Amino acid sequence: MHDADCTGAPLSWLVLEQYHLGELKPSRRDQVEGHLRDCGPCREAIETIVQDPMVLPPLPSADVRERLFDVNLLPFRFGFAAVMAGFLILLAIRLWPGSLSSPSWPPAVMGYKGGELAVFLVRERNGDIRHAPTGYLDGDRFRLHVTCPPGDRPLDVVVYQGDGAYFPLNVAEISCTNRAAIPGAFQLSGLETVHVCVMVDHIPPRETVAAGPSMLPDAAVCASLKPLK
Amino acid sequence: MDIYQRYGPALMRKCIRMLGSVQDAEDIVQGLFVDLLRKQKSDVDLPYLYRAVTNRSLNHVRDRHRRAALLQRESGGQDWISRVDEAPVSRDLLLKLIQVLDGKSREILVYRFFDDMTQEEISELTGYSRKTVGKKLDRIRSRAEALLRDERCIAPEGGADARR
Repeated sequence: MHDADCTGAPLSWLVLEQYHLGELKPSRRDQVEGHLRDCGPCREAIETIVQDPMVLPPLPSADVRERLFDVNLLPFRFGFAAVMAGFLILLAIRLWPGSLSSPSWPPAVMGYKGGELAVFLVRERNGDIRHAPTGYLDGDRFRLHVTCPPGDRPLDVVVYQGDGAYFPLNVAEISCTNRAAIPGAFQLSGLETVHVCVMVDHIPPRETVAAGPSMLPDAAVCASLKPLK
Repeated sequence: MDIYQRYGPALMRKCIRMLGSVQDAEDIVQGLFVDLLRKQKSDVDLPYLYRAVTNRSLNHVRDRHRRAALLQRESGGQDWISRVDEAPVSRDLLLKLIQVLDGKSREILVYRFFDDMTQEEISELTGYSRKTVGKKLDRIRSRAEALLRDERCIAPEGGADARR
């Protein structure tokens, strides 16, 4: 793919990845660096690796998956199911309109246009990646993934903190799919709970949304983060 | 799992190049590492993992139901181009080629046209002789040219086919 006008044989993606990881033997590494000095397309290719904001989803635990279907754990399965049912009932009471503690913030996941609208936060702190974080420290970097019905859709992100609101990312549109990564990242700091809200399809003017969460459109999902100090 | 964090991004980029879908790439890469975890196998390197995801991706492509969705997804545009002897070849065409090639050829096609490997690199990675790799690549080129010819032979509705 990057062999157009390449100087000699292009460096393969495997070699570029190994070079990026520092896994090439010194002699091979020197060859690669010599090639990169002279070859624009290959330099662009390594740049795409270096700049790629790839965030890995959490690895499912094979052990947990197997245990849930272990026949010998039958009594525990029923107990687990009872606990889950109780949790779901409590959650329904919590979210039911008019309940004593109904939230004023949109949920992180909702049904939308026959599919799902969901927001997922990913936190990066000193190289450590954490999915679905619930808190932040000053300087933590965050990225967003969103699940929305397939298609190109307008999108915007607003962060509410204290009495204020700001728009950390300049994203006008996204190709929706399962856990589509929203380009860009942002940092958080402060001592107040932060609500990160993603709006899809109908996007009100920023001045309107900045007035407060009551101005968020129906197609908005929010994830909250508490300060950890 | 440290090797997941270390090698996962490289494998994701490879699968996305081939399949054009982040979700499919996630399924394949995660599936591989879950299996490695289950087998308690951690003494692996990137070339080994590259080969493993190649084979899983090929199985994924060959699944009939997924193939139809893939081709439907890809038929709209050519946002990714590789080259077969300077003739631009879309991912769509390469995926069609995968359906008609034998096992070794499919693997070699992926390494040559999705991963930009030289014949020497392919030989070193797969263990196939350099001669085998060269012959398979010639076969791939012939099949690609035949498929391209077939696509160009489809006459527009109401028009005359000059070849008849």
